[in-house]
Amino acid sequence: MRYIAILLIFLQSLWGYAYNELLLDAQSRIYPKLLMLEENISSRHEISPIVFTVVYAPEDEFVAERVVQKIESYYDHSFSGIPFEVEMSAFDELELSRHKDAIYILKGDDDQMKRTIKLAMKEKIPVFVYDFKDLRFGALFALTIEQSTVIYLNRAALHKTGLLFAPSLYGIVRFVDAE
Amino acid sequence: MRSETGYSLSTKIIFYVLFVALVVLVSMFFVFEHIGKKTLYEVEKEKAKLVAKMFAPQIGINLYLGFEDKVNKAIEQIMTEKDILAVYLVKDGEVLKKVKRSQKAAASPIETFEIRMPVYEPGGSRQIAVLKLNYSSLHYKEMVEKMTQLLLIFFSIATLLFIALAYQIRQRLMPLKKVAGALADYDAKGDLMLECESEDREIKLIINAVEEMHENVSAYMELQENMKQILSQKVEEKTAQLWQQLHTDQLTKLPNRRALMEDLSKQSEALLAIVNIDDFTEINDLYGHRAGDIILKNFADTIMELDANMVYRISGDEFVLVKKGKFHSEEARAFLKEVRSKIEKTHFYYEENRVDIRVTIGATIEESPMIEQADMALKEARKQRKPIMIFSSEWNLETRYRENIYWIRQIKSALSQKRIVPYAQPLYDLGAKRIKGYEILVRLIKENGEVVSPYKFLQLAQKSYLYHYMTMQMVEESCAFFQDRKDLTFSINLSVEDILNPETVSHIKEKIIHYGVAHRVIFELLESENIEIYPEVESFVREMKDLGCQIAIDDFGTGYSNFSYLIKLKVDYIKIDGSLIRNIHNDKNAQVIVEAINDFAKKLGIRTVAEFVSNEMIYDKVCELGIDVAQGYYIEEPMQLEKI
Repeated sequence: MRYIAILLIFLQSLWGYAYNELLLDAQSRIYPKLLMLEENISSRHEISPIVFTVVYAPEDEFVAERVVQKIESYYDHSFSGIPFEVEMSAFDELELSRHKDAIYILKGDDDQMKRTIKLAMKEKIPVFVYDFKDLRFGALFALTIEQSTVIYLNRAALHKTGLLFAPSLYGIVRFVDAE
Repeated sequence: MRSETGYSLSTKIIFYVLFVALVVLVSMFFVFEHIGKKTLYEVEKEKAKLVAKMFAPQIGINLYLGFEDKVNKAIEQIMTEKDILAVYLVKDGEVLKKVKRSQKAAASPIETFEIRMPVYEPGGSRQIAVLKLNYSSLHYKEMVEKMTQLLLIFFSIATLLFIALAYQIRQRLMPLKKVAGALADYDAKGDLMLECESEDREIKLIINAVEEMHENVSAYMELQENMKQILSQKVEEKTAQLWQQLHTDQLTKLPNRRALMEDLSKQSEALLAIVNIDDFTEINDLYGHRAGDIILKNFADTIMELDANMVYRISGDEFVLVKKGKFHSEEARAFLKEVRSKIEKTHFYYEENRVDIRVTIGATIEESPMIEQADMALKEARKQRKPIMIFSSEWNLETRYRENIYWIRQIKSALSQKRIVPYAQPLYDLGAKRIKGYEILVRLIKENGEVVSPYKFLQLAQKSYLYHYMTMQMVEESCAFFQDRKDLTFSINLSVEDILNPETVSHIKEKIIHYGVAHRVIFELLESENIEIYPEVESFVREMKDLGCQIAIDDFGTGYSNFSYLIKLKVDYIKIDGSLIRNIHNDKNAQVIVEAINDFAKKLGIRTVAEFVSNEMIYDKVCELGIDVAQGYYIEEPMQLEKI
């Protein structure tokens, strides 16, 4: 069994997407913080917890779990006194009525990605993506590590969702326009 | 002329300008010191704050997101501001970041100021750190130095301008100073030399006005000088005229008493004679004053023809002859006889009436005081009814006058010190055989306590008009004393002078009413004073009798003894004169007269009083004759009121 499991993991890593561990770590640390800069978030969640959902392709389930663990280790079910929960959902299982506060999409195929982002944006749910290129599907935030950490904010998505963030955020992000 | 004091106008103006300039400059200095510096300091501080404020949000969000590199970058950006010497980012008391400018940060702490700016979490109010900037005050100091330099330049220019202004003021006002100098020695009679030129219109106007004023003043002075001369001449004429009037009798044009006094002050030896026209009032009364004046003029003409050096008129009917030289008494008498003879031989006329004039002459050949001596001689001549008397130092008139003066002084002093006191002598009722009352007699108590009889001072008191004061004092004190002795009457002697004096009469009425003694007071009037000829006496008696007073006639039997007025005045008592009573016990004639008076009085219902009852024989005789009341030393001598 053990060997089978090792094999599965190996296969998984063999057929699954490749992730930059450093980037995952940075995103796990910063994305919740960016979410908390949304102006109305604290007023909507005085009692009910903020649900931050990590969306993944089926082959990336282990990656998603790691991400969830990371976020939980950073924020421990509470963020600045507001209840905070991290969940994970595969693309197919995603229920936007339940996972309505924010979604963090790992890698996936273009169709899945495109459909999920479209639906989420329709529901005015802020979408964070792992891959900067996925901003082209209309995701709101992406983060890359270049010479320094860079946060990208999709201006078109921002207008579409009508979300407002702390003004100081706009001073440090790099804006992109992608439909 | 006022001496030059204080500062000149130009100096004052310069002082005022200096004062204003100083106030302005000092104000500017203080404004700069207290407001300018502070403002510069605040501006620098605001600049530092602005930098901090600008970077704080950026640092805040980067700190929030954990972008340390970006925080560092922001701090580096801050440090690009050259005046910022150090940046500290402090979180929870721990310095997270610290950047210092190496070369300037070492400067003295006095040259920096610190700005602290809180760093908040983005979108929230939670403070997550403090941004601390050390800002250099170097720029501030440079600005202050620049401002100070500008101020000094301004002060220097202002000082130069002020010196120029002061010089200009002094120069412009110099002509005025010259005018003042010229006016300091101004003489309206001389020429006015104003050697000053000025282009200023106002100064020119002043110089022109001064020159014009000088012309006017000179003209006015000339006019004044002429008027002064005329006035001086007029004053001299008037003075001479007044002197003449002052020293001349206007009727006879003879020198008057004043001229005589002045002439005598220069005269050492001479015969001075006062020639008095006898009974001149009768001439006035008979022919009128106009006649009197004409006769006086004629008399003056006559007397001027006599052999005298000077003739004066010193009063209405008195003329003075002065003959210079040393005279013996006999020579003087011979001369005066001749004078009198010539005057009395001269006939004076008024219209058709011949008026013969007689004169009495008093003269002196003694030395000063000649007028007084001649006057004494004239009085003595009148007294002795002699036509001419020449003053002699052997007369001792001076002693008599001195005595009179002494007694008048005594009376005045006694009156003021209440030493004129009433004494009382009992009036003994011979029928009832008891003292019925007292007669009030006046006494003067000298300062040494000696009691003086009225014979010594009463006559003088009458002459010196002090008498009525004595009467008022007697009335007051006797009324006060007898107001509570209701079984006794008291008699007060009144003279005609008292009754003719309204003040005395009013005082008597007031006192007898005030003390309620009207029914017990008897007023004794002297028969010898011809009381019947004065209507005021009759009126007084009627008034007093209406009040309830009684009237007695004193010393009855010495005068004309007009019995009719006894009835007219409704007299209550007759006091028979002491000269009749004194020898009544051995003088048959006196007895007859007293008896007649007594009988007559009894028939009229008048009671009789015998005075001077000094012994038993007289007492027995007056009792025998039926006299009602006796008074005299036999009964009791006068005593002080307190002894009654």
